[in-house]
Amino acid sequence: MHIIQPLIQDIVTWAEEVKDISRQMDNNEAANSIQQEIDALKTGKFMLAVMGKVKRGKSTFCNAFLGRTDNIVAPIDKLPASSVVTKFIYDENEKVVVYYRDGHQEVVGYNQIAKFVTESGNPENKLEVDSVEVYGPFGGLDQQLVLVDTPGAGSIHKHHDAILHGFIPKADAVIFLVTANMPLAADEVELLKELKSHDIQKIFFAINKVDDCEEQDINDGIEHNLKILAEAGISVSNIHRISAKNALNGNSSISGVPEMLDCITSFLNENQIKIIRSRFISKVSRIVEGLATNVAIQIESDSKSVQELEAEQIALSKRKEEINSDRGHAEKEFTFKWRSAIEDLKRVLPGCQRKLKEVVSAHIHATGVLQVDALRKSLPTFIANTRDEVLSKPFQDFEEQARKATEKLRAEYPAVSMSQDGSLTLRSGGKHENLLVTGSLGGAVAAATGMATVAAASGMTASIAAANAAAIAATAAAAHAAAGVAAFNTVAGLGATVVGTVLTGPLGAALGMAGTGLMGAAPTVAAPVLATAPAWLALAGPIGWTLAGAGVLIVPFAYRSSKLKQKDQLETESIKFIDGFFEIVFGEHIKHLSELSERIVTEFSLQLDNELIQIEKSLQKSILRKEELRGIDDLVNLSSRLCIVKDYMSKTH
Amino acid sequence: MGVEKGDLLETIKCILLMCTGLLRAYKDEPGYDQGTRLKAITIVTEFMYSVERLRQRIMTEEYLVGFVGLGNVGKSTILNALFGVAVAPRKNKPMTALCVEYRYGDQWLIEIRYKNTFRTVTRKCSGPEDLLNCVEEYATEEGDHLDDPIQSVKVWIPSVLLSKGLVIADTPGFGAVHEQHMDRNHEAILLEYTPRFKNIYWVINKDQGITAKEHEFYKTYLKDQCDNLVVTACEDLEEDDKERFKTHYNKKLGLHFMKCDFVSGKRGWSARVSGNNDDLQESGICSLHDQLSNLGDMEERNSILLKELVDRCDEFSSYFYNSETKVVLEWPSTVLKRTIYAARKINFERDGEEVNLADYIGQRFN
Repeated sequence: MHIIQPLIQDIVTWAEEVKDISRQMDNNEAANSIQQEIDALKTGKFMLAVMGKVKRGKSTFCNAFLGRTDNIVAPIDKLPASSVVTKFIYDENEKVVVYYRDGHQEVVGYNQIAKFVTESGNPENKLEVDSVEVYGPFGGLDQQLVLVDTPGAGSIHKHHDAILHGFIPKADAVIFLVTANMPLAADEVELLKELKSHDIQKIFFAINKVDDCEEQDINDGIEHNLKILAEAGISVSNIHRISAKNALNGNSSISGVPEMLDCITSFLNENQIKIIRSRFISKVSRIVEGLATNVAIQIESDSKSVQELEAEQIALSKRKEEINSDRGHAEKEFTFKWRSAIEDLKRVLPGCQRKLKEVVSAHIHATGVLQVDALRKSLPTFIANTRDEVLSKPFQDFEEQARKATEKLRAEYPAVSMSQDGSLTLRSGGKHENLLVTGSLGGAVAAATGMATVAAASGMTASIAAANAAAIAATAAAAHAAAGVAAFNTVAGLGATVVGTVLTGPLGAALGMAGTGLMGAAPTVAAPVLATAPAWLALAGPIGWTLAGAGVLIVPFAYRSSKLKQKDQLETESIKFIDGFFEIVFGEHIKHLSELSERIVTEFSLQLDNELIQIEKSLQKSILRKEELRGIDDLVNLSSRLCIVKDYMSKTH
Repeated sequence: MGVEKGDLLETIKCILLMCTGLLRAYKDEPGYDQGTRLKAITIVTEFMYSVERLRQRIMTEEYLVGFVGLGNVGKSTILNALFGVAVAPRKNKPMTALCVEYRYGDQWLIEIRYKNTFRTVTRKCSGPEDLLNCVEEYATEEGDHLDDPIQSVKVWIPSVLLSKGLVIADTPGFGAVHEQHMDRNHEAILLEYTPRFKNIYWVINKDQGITAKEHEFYKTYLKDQCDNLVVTACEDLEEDDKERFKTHYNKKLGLHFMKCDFVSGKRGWSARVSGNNDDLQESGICSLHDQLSNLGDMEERNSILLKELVDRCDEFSSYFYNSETKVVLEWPSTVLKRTIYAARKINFERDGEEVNLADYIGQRFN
């Protein structure tokens, strides 16, 4: 160690700096592996690994390398033998240390090696051996040089490959064995490429088992191998021809092994320190690369999120201001439009009343004396139809104006949507569908909307029916239900109103149905209601939601008219009914419509307040998040330190 | 000791029937756990396939054997040793991009059939050297015929091995590094040929063993058709090594009902050259030669196949009556009787004694 110390001091200091940086990045894993590399470097050991495909004579070669004439230290078998990594280390005393995967170790004798390292002694590595270190006064080794025997590549024992590939990064140089009778195969080239990818610069290439082959075959094989190696981009200066078996059997002079060992030794004497240094630098540089990439990614994502957060904050604040400044105006405009629509309606209604009365009177007058009976029966329907004719236009006009006003308000409404966790998404402009619509039309909500619509309509109907003194328990219950639904989901209720404006036709029918049901439950008017039921449906049709429930008013009239015998009595009663009807329209419906605008405004207003609260929350959140990201300066600092570290090494080497 | 073809076929048919009954039993009988059931069904099915292959071989007229293996395991050396003349191209690099069929003829002939033009060229060669040159020219990666590729190469040689009617096909080697378009080509050739083979002899090299790559190759191309494993470069293997080799790979790869021949192609070839009969005997080439040669003869083939049938029955029952699998065979008894009846006239030799197949089956499976 004292010999190597001065030669490596500079790179150790360098690696310590990298370790320090990785600690600061909270990357203990990297720091630990650097420490391991430093420890390994300080021992000054040089790992020379023997690798190759399965059954290429690696263990035989190891025995020959170590100057053994037996196969005790590296057992050989006719079947695939080596199943773990064995390190041969120079020591004056013979000793074997078995390292297990769980970290514990055991010292055994030479005669037990086969029990741990061979497939037959330790099948599937069931003993969980990590590696075996064999110490002894081996001929081919010195204090620094460690020879490593590895399991063969491409065996049917999958764990052999795993062990081999796990060891590759630890190798400093490799002796690669192929055999003379088998030209280089695709999987051997793969293995060589992997060695290259791990920056293993020195590969001693040997063609083994030359004793088994004729000269021509060997030459052909070498020619083929060199071609394949060149294609794979692996440069090999010399392919040694050896027979590890001959060397092991004591015929080393014809085995080619001593020549190869000389070659290896002289190369190592010259280059060992250089290779150790460059391997160390390569391994630590890999870690530096990883760290640098991490820092770069983090800096990029953090700075991006800071920018995004700032943009978000600006947008949120802008939105807040917009809402605050626009809301007053939007509400005023809506209320004004809604009111003027009601005023328009109010203006035309007396005319309608007059016209209805005239038409009905004329109809009664035109009826012959003998047709009074028929008139009595048809009069409710006639009045209803005529009323529809007269009223549908003004009410439709009103509904159209109301719809436009509501839509305008919606357009003014901020397009902000909330997600589950309470964060907000701003949508550019205010032209998108707003929450009310999405809330009431989206998916399953539609069903609920329908319910709420019916219930809301029932509410109206109930109030009208109550005024007519026909209110019963059932109606009250329905009103209750309506109130409940409204309280439960005011937005949905409102939504229903909006839907109503759009879907006048079918909704009107639904309203009429609701009315029928309600009235059918009233005992006082049971019989006539049943008889004339279709009329209510027809009545409810053309007129929209604004007049919903008005149809039922015809019921008491029909009941009363059926009892009257005289034409003039019928006329008086009809006029009375029409007056009464309009009184209710003015008293109940118009009043209700005015109230409705206030409710819509209140809802919108509440919703806006809610949005503002959410925006405020999001703002707070993004400010906090930005605080968290302030560490970016430190990152930049680390990154520049890493760059210096990288530059230092690439300049020095 | 002739074996009546009809009797043998009938016996095999009955054995297959018995197996069907067994399969049903394992499928439906309660009392086996899932693992045992699966194992038993696998073995029975594989046994049925292998027996069915024997049946096919008994019936076939032209007996075409394919020699396959990964590149440079020593396939061609074995073939040359078997033929007694060097006619299979042998070089220490990937070779034989085509299947070459070897048939018996009293002259040295080579016939090339082209793919695109349906052209056929027949050439008479002066002797084995000339023929080998021709084959090398056509059937190696060096012979480049991309414009009109060769469909097939047939060769007629006066070899004793083929004299009884056997046809041998030498297939391209796999797995060595070659130019990319060639590798594909090789696979296509093998896929095209394998259905025609009556039997596949899979050649592996002892020194290499069976690697992951070889196993992959076996699973892809050979599993359904291959019954014979030829292990070459076995000059230094002792008997117990061979046994170890077999059990090692059998256990690891599940190679059931596979007949193993351990040979040394190189030693066999040099014995051929030097005329050393003892060496030829020891190399294992002799017994492989006799086995193959007799398969070519319709009459003698049946005795060999009968022996293989008995071997397979042995192996089959060994999987069942041992403690490891813990499954006992219960043959459907009526079919068993029928099997015994069908086999009554068939005799085979075992350990020097003549054994009646009916007795054997009765003993083995009752």
